[in-house]
Amino acid sequence: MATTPLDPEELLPLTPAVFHVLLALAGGERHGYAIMQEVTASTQGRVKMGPGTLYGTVKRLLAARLIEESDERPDPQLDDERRRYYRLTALGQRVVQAEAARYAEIVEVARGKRLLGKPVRIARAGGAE
Amino acid sequence: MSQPEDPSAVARSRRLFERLLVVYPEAHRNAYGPAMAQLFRDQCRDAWRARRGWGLAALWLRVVPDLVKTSVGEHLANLKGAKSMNEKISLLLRPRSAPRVVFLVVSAGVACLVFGAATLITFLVPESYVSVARIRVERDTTDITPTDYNSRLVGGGYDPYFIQTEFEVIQSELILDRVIGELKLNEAWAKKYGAAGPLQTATTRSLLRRMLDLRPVRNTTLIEIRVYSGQPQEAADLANKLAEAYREYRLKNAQQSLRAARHVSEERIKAQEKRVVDAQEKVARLRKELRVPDPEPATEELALKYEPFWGAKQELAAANRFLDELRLKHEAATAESGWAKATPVEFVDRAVPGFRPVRPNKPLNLFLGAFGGMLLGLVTGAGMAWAASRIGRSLRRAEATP
Repeated sequence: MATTPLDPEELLPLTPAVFHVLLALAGGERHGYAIMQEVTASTQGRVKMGPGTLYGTVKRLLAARLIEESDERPDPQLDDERRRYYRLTALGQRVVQAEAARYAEIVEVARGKRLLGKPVRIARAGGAE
Repeated sequence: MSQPEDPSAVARSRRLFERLLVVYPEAHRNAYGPAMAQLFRDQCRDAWRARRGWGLAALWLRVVPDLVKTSVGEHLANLKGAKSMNEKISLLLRPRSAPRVVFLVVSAGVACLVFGAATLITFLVPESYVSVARIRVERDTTDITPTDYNSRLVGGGYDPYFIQTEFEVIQSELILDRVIGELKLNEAWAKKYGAAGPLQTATTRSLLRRMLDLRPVRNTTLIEIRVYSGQPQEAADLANKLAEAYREYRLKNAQQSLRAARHVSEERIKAQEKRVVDAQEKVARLRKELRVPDPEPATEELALKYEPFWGAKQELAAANRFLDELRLKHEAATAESGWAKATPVEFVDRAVPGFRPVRPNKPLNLFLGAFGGMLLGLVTGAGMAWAASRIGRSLRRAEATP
């Protein structure tokens, strides 16, 4: 099926929920629970997604072809239940990169105005990737 | 890796969550329902591990608003695709689950609205304290009962309207204006309500009446004077001052009555003394006219031969006896301080400032708001669900008909 390549800039700015999900998937394919855990960890518990928000976002990202379903298999670290895994598409990769670059520009401007201190390392829970 | 069985609280939470997924549109529910339930169960496990029941409760508090918000969002997203109002209604009401969804949404919405309104009103209404002064009231009676040859006894006897009459007296201008004057309420309340100058006494009186609640204590002669105010000290001061003003009014009235009764008694004695003098003169005149001998004959001969003289002597004796009676009563009452009758109104309990507001009754209001909201929500939800099922059925029938 031929797809019309989209300019990532047309989709910016992303909502916080969408950006967090894409960011979580930037590290590799994940299932819903892992996405939620990654978002909670990377925001130090400030953002906690409910099932409704997460899968509503997943549905819109699938429709926009920013992510795709990759597999359905159990997670060996959890239990035997089969879980749906998602990964970024090429477009999704470009979009999240564009949004991250946009944030970086804003951070530089803020730093120039001495609104921000030194960058802070974010501790990741369990060291999971 | 097999997991141990979930605790029953986690399993129950998952089952409940799965039932609540009915609020989503059918297509979304079919596509993502199982995944959402799976994610929720994972979150329940984490919450239970961290904080047991409290963790689950906190999770539910986060998930329910998320459920409501996102289900409404999904329904609106569906409707955006529909062109006309009929299509939109059809999308909403066609699915078989529509009545259940309508029932849940409407009953929850109405219940929240009613409870929210009750809560808002409860916390917006200014608080009010009550103070109660209790007084014992007696009717005015005197020991000097006016007697006459043809008089009837006054005072005493049961009056079924007595307490009600006294209620009206306590709320009358006589008593209220006295309280207003002594506590300078015209000025004090002008400041309280932000008026430019002192309030009119009529206005202050009207405000004071609204704060007042009088109640009889059953099977006694006690009256409770209750005053409600936003300031506990003011309520107590007003209740006590009202009781004092009423007591002074009744005392003054009783003393006036006693003075009047004494005056009447003295007048009667004077009148009787005059009658005695008149009777003595009559006896002397008749003795002369009838040439009654001295010493006087025996009673039978006196009565037979000098009948008018004998009659006058009887009248004189009776008048003297009555005069003695009046004097005795007058002296007895004065000697025993019968004039200084005990006050007809006595303080039993003085009012004290309340330490807790009595209005609004917050727990009761909130309970009624919750109960009423739930009841109204159920009734409205059931009615709307019934309507939705009728519409849905006819829509499905219309679509099935070629």
